Amino acid sequence: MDFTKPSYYTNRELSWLDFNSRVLGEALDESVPLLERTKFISIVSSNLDEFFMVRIAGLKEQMHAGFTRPDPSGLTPSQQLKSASVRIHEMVSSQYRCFNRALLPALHDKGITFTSYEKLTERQTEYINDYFDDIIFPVLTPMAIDAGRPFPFIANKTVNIAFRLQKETNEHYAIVRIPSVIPRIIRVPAGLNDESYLFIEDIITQNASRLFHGYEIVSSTGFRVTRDADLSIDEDDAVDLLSEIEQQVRQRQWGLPVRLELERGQDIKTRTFLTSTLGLQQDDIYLIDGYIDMSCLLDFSAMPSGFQDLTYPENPPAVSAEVSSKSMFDLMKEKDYLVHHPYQSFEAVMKFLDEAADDPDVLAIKQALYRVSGNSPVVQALIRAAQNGKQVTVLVELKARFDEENNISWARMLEHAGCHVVYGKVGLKIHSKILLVIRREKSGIKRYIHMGTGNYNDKTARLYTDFGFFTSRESFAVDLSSLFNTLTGYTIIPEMKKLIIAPDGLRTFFKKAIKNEIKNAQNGNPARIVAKMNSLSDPGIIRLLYEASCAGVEIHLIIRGICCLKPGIKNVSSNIKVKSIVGRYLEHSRIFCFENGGTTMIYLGSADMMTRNLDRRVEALFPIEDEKIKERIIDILDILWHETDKSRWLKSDGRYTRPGKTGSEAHIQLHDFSQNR
Amino acid sequence: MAYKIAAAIDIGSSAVRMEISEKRKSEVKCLEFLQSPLYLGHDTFTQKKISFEKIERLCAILNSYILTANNYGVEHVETVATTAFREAENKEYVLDLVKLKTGINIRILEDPEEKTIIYREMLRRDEGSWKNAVISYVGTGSLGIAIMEKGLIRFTQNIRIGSLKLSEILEPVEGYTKKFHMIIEQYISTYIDVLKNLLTLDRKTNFVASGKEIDLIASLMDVEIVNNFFSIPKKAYQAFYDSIKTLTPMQIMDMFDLPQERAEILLPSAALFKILMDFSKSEVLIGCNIKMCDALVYKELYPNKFDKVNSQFEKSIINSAIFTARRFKYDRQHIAAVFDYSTVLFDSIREIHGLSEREKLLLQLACILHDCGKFVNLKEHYEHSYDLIRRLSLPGLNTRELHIIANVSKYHSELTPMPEHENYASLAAEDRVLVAKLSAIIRLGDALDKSHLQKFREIDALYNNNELIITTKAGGEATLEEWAFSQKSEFFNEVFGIKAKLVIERTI
Repeated sequence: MDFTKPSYYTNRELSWLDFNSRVLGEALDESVPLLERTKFISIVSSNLDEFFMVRIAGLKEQMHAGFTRPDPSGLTPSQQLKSASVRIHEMVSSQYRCFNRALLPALHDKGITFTSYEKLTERQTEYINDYFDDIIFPVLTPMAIDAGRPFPFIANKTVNIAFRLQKETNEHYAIVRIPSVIPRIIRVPAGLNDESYLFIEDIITQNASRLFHGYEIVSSTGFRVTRDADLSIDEDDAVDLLSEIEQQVRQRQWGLPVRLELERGQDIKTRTFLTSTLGLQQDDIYLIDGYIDMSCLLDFSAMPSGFQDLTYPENPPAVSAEVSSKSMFDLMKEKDYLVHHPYQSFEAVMKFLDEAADDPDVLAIKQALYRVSGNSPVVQALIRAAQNGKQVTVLVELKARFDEENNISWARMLEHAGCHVVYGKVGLKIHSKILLVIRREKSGIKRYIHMGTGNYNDKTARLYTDFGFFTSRESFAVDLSSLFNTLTGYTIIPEMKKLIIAPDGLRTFFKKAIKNEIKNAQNGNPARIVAKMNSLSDPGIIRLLYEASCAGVEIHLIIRGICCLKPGIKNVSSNIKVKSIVGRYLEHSRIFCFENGGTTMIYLGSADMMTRNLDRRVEALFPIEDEKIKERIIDILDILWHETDKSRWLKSDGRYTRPGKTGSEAHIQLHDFSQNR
Repeated sequence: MAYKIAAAIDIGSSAVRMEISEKRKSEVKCLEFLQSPLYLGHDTFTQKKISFEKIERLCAILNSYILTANNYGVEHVETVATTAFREAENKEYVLDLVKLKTGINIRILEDPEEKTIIYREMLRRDEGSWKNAVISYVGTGSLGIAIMEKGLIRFTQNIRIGSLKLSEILEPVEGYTKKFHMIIEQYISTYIDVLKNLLTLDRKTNFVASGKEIDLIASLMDVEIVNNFFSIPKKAYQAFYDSIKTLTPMQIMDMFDLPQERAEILLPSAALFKILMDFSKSEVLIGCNIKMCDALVYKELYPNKFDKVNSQFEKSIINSAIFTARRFKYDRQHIAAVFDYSTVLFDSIREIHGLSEREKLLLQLACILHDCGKFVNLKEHYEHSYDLIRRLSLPGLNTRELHIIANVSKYHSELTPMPEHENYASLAAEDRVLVAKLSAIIRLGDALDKSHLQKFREIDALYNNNELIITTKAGGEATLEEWAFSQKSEFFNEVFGIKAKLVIERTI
């Protein structure tokens, strides 16, 4: 059976765009609170920004390099670019339609208004003009363009206004960058019950004459350039990874332009001028019906106060009695313990770290950090531990995309505090979420472990669904110690007892586990795979899943984002069902569950079934051996599988459809389900 | 504290390893085992030097190991190095550099020391089930063979053809012939054939193999390891060997999914074990999964138990010294008499000489070997004894100890230590004192059987009031002994500042 036919695969980029459409779907969903819908509008934008900077930029690079090999779905880079551009154009118009026609009026009805300069009252105009004089004007730098002054460099993702000016018969252009140090959306003092907001570019445009004395302003056009921003670090030659990445981050704004967003306006001349100067194709131009760069709505959605009914109801994460009543060491000595974020609090993790930092018997702490929050309590605890004389080893992945700058700064803090900081491995991103505490106890050395599916980030732990697993099992400790040694030093990974480690063993593990199900199905034994992940794109794994489906293995997949597999194709994937859940929380946990002839194997971990996770990252999967925890995870999978309100089913043609809502939103059920665990 | 943690680092020819273990009641619990590939052997065996890049890498590895050891509160890490270091011409500089950059003092193990540590650990684990055995240890840089008889080692031979070394030496030939394995076999046989003339082995002899190459072969053959031991029947081993002997390293890499370095040494080491198994005539290969670090850590964690194991092993050292003396057609009764007399003398003046049990062993070994030079020439036989002993390889002894034994043997009869003797002058100051003390004792011991007729069945020695009174019984006359004793007691007097008197009771 040939499972490599292009029609059996969905292109990775287009599948991602489908995911972003599902995010947009939340903005369109009237049952979602209004300010949250606004937030989803902003997420669609920031997601797209990243997509352009990395994926579209990558495709363009491939195209320029003359790379024409089609992907598994049969599309060449240029075909992918073409299709993606069509999709994104549709998506952006739908996004702005939603914002302009649905959200703005609805917000207005609730007393939240986006106003314009002309509509301001006299007092408001005075206030805003003062604001311009005192705050905005001093940081503006208009840049004129003429024979002696070439087109200025437009930094990545900055919003700018292009002015077409006239002096006598001569025409000029000038560009003003919207300062990023000032909030994009400004609150205008209004009546008691009114919230009124103004975009900063309106204020600048209205006061532009003060910037260009003696010129007549013919037109003004807001625009934004997105650039190739994927770091290309030559790690082999990089003597000091830290400074190399610092430098690359600075250079990020210099990448080639990949997209131009322009306010849709009457001024064709300015549009032609910008397009030709930046050297972009028609497909790369996006005419925007409104304000450019909706990602600023994320900050905005937190601005109006007193509108609780327009946001999600508070759902404070639970802290179990066990965690609050005893030390984490005692708890872990007793049993394995699982927390499900954000239904359960990140506090258990913090408590473990805090206790480790202060406990006099703790000798050492080792942790791998990928993305942490600003002023992270995790980092604080590690610093305190080092000050308390513990041996603290921190693996910092500097290459966490778009977090590099952030990571560099706290990595330095850790170093200053005396922690032993190690910066990743050449060619491999350390994506595994692992923490090891070595403690001296009466009976000998005891090691405590936390492993997770999500980052050690207290902020995102309130928004992302993730698992955190605590154990003091010796076999796990031995494996994890070896893994740390390999990551911080020069050792080879010995054979693992429990953990599955990428890049060495993960692909082999998946292969073996899937083949095992195939064998069981062929022998007439129960055979089933239930897995939840963020993305499934690795063609090798997909082929195996097709093979398994044909052998009669029942396969249920809950995949939030990219899914290149097509379910329900006759004689290929008829036993595979795929759903995606996009809702209040970002589905982030990875669960791999194999029937294994009756003794179910469950693994949790940091890896998706993407080629990069399998081959180019350090990932860790860990088995769940405690029967109660196993049952709990199976129940969670069951709830997710049967939830309808935020689910979309993937059809055999690659499209997603929404089932009718039945009021079974998973996160509400799971919140109840996770109380006192 | 109820428990103890120890760590040891082994710098081998192809990798650096560290074990951190904990003492839990009677068992060793391994907390961490680290292994980092580093092909020092490649440098030493081809360039005779360890390259600067490798030193840098070694220091980086050692520093990361120290950090890991510190995680468990371990401060001191016993660090040893074997062949690749031992044979590097620049080892002194390297030691110094490593010390500067890491603070670690590397102890370079001599070949016999390295093997001793391994044999001793193997025998400890075996707990005495092998009575007769050919024991082999293949390191990347050298091969060690020990022949055990009635539970004691009687012969050891170290050959400088380890697995890596063999592949380095034979590499130029590899391209020329498809029968590369035959060249390897013939090359190894030239060493093994010599042993055949020395020893007679029968089917009851066990064949024990150890070292990471046999561990690899076992894992490739899917052999189950139980408590560090495994066994492979000869037929199965032969079949495995036949299946790989005509393969190139590239094919071996593909077939077993091995890294190149390991694939390259698989065939030479497999050949080595095949030849040794044939030599042993055994039908089964007993594998012993053992690491240098295990032995080092055990010594740290269980000093008392280790002492017991070690004193048992010292019996083997004596046994192999006797086997060696036999090869030189020794006078068994004379040797036994000198051995016994000297031992009694040594024990009687412990408070005067202040020497240790280990030094007593050196004396006893000198007693066994002191006359072996007579095999060469009776004239100035003590000079020949000196030369021969220096070149011997006895299990458990390092060059220094062997040199001390050689010196003591040289001074057992005519000569006494003189600063102008080069062999004596080249010793360290404290070793010169040691040689003088042991010589003084062996000279008396030898004098007491001057006639080689064992006139005294036993002697008693009592130290009192600055006098050592040696009493014994004799059936007949013992004039030669009395004369020799008075001659030799002068030096004894000089060294210890006490008088030795011989009192012979006539029994008839």
